[in-house]
This record gives sequence, C-alpha cells and structure tokens, in this order.
Amino acid sequence: MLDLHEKSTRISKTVLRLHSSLLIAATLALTTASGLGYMSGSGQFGMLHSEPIGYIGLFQAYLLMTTMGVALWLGSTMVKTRPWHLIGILGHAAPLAANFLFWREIERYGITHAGIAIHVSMIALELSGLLLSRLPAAPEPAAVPSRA
Amino acid sequence: MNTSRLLRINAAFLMLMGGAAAAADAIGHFFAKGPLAPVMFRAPLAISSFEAHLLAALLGTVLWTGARQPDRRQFHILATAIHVVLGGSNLLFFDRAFGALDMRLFGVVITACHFAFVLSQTVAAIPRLGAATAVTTPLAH
Repeated sequence: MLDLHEKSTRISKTVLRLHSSLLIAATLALTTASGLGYMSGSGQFGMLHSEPIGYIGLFQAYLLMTTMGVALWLGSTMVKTRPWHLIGILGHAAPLAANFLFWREIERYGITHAGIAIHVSMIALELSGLLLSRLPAAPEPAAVPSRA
Repeated sequence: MNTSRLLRINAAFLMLMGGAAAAADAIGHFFAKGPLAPVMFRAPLAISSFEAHLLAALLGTVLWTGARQPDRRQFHILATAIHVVLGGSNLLFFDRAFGALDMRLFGVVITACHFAFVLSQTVAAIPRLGAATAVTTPLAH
C-alpha cells in the first residue's frame, strides 16, 4: 500500500502534467487562432489585423507559455516537484498581473473576467500541488528488538 | 565553458533583458516615455508585449534553477526552445517590430544573441562522446 508521502508525490506530479497538457493544448490553439485573425482580419482575433505590434507580443507570449508547459512536464519527471509548482504559479501570476495593470485597455475586448478566471484556477491547481509536495516522507519504522 | 555557467549566463540575459523590456513596455504605454513609447503609448494591445517580456524573464529564473541540477541536459534543450521562439519571432516580424521603432541595429544584435544561445545551448545539450565512454568503461571489467 502506498504511504501518504508517496500518494501526495504522485498527485503532485499529476497536477504538473495536467497543467502542462492544458497549457500546451490551449496555447497552440490560441497561436493558430490569433495567427488566422491577424492574417484575415476576421474571427475572435480579427482586431489583430490592425494591431501588428499586439500580434507580435501575443505570438511570443503564447509560444513562451507553450515552452512553460514543456518545462512543467519536465519538472514532473524530477524528484523534487516543489520548485516547479512555484514556477507554474508564477507563470500565471505574470499574465494575471498584466490583466490588472492593463485592465482599461483589454476591457474593450471583454476578456478581463475570462482571463482572470483561467489564471486564478490554474494558480489554485498549482497551489494544491505545492501543498501536497510539502508533505514530509513517513519516518522509517523503528527497529523491533528481536526476541531470539 | 562549464555548462552550468552557460545556463546562468543565459538565465541572467533573459531576466535582465526581459525585465527591462517589460518595464519599458509599461513606461512607454502609461507615461509615453522610453524607447518603446512610439509604439506602446496607449496601444490597446501593449499587454501582449508586456506579458511576453515578463514570461521571458520568468523563464530565465527557470534556467537559473536548472543550472544547479546535476543533470542539465533537459534545461539546455529548454533554453534552446526559448531562444528559437524569441529569435524566430524577431526574424519573422523584424521590420514590423524593430523597423517601426527605428531600432534595426538593436534588433540585429539582440536576434544574433538569441541565435548564439540557440547554437551554444544545442551544443551543450548534445551528449559528449567522451563522457559516455567514461561512464561505460568501468562496466567492461
């Protein structure tokens, strides 16, 4: 039977892999959608057609988040997962902070609340992984004196 | 050069340049000051550039963490991927990004830095033949 530490380590690694998979899938889809919007001027990202500087930033930000997803998967294969949960939290803290800082500018696109919901839920997911990765290993069973 | 030092130099470059560029984005957007002000001032999507630069700085901290690991190969691959994204997008949008700011020379230098890192990190990621032999030799006995 698995002890508590082993179980929490396994869940911590699963959290990292789940987050990583979501990041990679979402950012690749968003890179494609924003690229199509930039080129055609239609769709959800149609505004990028007249905002080339905005598109360049988005292109880099999405692909860097994909790279972050790859990094989190890499972290899930390591013995100590704690720093990787911190990286996962910081990875969402950066765009979340930007969301608040540029609130007035992005309000016109109606994406403020969706952005906050996504980043906060991913931070919550990583926080649970971080707490689980802090659980100490079970102490070695004390040697039972032999009767022989 | 020690591959740990290479990762640290790479990390410092990302943290410094990413952090400075993110600050320049915000200052240019809100206060119309600094080198990025001509394209960032009141630009509705300045947030994207700010985010990208902040993420680059953050990935610098990941590489700094990686420099302390005994097995750094995966971090060299990660560093290569980061610079392929950053250098590649600079090349792809060179005139739109650096041309609009009249910073072509800076663009050439920074893009060259990205590709120098791509090259050096790729070389560091390739397992050395000598190291592999050194590990396998004792097993032959």
